Amino acid sequence: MRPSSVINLPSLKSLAEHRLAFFAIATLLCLAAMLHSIATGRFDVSLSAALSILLDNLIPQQHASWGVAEERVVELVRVPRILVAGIAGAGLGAAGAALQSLFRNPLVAPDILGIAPGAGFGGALAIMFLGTSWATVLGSFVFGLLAIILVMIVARSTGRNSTLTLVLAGVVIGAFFSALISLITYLADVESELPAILYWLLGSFSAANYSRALLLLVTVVPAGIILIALSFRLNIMSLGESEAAALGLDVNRVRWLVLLAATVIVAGSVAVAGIIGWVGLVVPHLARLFVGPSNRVLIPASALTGATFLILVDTLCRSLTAAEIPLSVITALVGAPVFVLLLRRAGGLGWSGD
Amino acid sequence: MDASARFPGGPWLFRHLTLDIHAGELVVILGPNGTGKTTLLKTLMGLEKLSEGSVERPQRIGHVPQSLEVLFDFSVLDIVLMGAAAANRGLFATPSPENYRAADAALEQVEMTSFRERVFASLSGGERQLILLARAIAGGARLILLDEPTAALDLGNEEKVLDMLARLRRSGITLLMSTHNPEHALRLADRILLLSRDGGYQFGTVDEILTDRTLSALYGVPLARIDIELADGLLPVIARLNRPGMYQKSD
Repeated sequence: MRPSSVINLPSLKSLAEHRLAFFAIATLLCLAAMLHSIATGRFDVSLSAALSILLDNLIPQQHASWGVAEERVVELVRVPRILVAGIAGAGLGAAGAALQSLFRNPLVAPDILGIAPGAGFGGALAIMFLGTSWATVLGSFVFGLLAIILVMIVARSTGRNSTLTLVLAGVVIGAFFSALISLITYLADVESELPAILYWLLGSFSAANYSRALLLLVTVVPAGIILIALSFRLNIMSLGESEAAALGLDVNRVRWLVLLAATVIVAGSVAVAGIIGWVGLVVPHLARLFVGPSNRVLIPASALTGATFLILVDTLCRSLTAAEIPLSVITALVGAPVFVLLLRRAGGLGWSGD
Repeated sequence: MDASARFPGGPWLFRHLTLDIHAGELVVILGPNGTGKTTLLKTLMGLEKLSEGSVERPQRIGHVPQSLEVLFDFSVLDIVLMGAAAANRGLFATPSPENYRAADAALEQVEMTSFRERVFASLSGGERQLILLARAIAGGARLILLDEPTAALDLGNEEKVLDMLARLRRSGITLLMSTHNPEHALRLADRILLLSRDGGYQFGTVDEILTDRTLSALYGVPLARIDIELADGLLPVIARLNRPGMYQKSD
């Protein structure tokens, strides 16, 4: 653990050891969350049976000690669901950490740029008019990208190419798409479409399957690599744009690349699982407490923490009650108190803004 | 260089400004608020475009802002490394072992090695300015631009920073510094650039520029250069001659 006092920062060597310990423990926790998730749910599958089923794919077992139903639940329902939750959580955590540095604001989350409302509107539109799950995925992806393009156009049209105009443009475009979402829910058929739209908007991994996991993989992983590649430059960006430019950084290029990567991640996760709040806000703060503010470590740490967090939340969602609870309900119920605890911590959150 | 700048639609901040700064020189920029000191430094850094003219500048220019607010708990080493490695290219640009060596050497040069692992934001204003000097040095800059580097400091810290600037100058680094305090020019400058409100400028040695008349005209208050006799020589200071009653004509 990092000491709470900002004055007594541990020496670099011990900080490196802390980081190593963090990654070791976080990886173990993530694996534990996966194993726990695979053996939890309405359909009873023991952990050993679940592991045997998975092992069977690698080394075919002589005598199957499980039934077909168990095999289907593990392989077709739970494993893809864990994959989707893990990749989405990793992406949202990494995107949140990157955006907090880019905007020099610890309260920034991927939602702020209007990407999530845009993607949400696209998905809702698809549910209303097309009704297929692939249309939902495509709709939210396209409108998520459309939202960030609109944000760019609005920000550029003011003539000032600054981060503040970008945030303001993001808020405006976000509000615009939120209004359109309200319009859709108002117009939607109360019997059939409205419940589907509302449930989807609140976020759920219940429709997870391997093709959706693949969609997330091809969006989140490349975008995450871009963020990691830019992580040192993001450290410099967190000093402010004029400072970064004075140090010789290509500020515009870094900014747009980070935004593009974050958009791809958010649009991908909304497309697959609806709007998932709080992860991108709380997870980077939690990770920063353990590994410090340098994005070179923080972004991977946030990805790992985010994956663990969303796998745990999803397990809760589908095991707490008979009916599945929407993701955003649990992420907010867990995220809000965690955030308050982090705020109350002596020494703050590893940022010095006042 | 032959530089001119103004804000769109505004009057000229400076026009046909011709500066030829020698290596290893310390040039102080003086001028009241709004005469383009910061704009001049920004155009030299390439952050703002000149309205007319061109600047010939070395590839690497370091800079020290008036103060730097760092939001996250970066260590002193992190901050200096940013200066050392900001120009690194490549997809995964990260600090190289050479950058680490340059950062440590720069910290040693400003005598702040013992602060290496402290949190930058927890340091005093003067300590931060010294670290920012180290950041500029670590980037390999032989020319460092300073925009009112002591404006946010108390007297003691101001002294430390000025002392370090004098030492860096002796080590061969070229410094161009704007300030509101003409005494800085008196103490440190090889030459002075004086920007006045009408867009004009003067560039010359301390004795050429810092006359009582130019000083008083520049700031619009009566000022005089006075030499205080000390045991080991003369200490030039600038005095404000506006004490009520003392220098005012009684009709």
